[in-house]
Amino acid sequence: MAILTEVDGRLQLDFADAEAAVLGDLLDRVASLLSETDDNPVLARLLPDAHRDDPEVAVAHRELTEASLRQDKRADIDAVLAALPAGEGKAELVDPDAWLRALNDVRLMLGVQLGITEDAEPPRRVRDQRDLQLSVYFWLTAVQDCLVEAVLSAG
Amino acid sequence: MDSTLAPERVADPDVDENVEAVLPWITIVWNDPVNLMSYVTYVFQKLFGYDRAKATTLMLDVHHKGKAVVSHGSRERMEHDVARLHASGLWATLQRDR
Repeated sequence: MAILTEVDGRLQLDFADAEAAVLGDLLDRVASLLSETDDNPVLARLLPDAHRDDPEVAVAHRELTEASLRQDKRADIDAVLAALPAGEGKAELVDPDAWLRALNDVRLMLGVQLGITEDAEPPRRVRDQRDLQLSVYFWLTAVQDCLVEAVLSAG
Repeated sequence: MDSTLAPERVADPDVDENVEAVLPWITIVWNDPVNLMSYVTYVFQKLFGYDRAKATTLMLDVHHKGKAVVSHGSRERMEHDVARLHASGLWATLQRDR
């Protein structure tokens, strides 16, 4: 994966191998979770309570904002999915912020599912499914970090 | 308007109290192990219009102290800020300032 900046400041991501397919699958997983209404730990992180110890404030905020929050997250995911190449190739980042948010939501999902903590490290060797998911998590961490820098430089 | 606010001019007004009466709610962003320092700083700049230095200071507070107050205002305004922060994936809450 490489981040390319055009002369006019537009950003592109260049996907190698199966990178676009891997990202597409993860975005599908987030979208699928966002369509659920049952309590689950990933949704609790993507749509957190707006107050720590006053349920009334939290419920009021949820009634006010949750539906549109789900829609907005879904729209970010759809924008990225629509721009992903079928195999290897480039994606144009028409709205880089949508990409940053969608990448972040994927990382939040993986972070909850993998139990990521402050001192988590990439696996030295990939021996099982968890190592593989951890590798993907740290790959997306690097991509997001570079993308933030690219957006700041391009802006 | 809050009836405790005195209508007459006072010689030595307590600015802090007046600010609190007008801006009684705050938005807090909490630390979490997933959100990147670079991304959190960027979101603070983008959503609140803070310059790089202020956004970085707030991000470092979140990272080292576990949380930071990122905005003050009416409850309605804080509801809006929290919703935007949630849309960006940050862990934010609102509460009455005290």
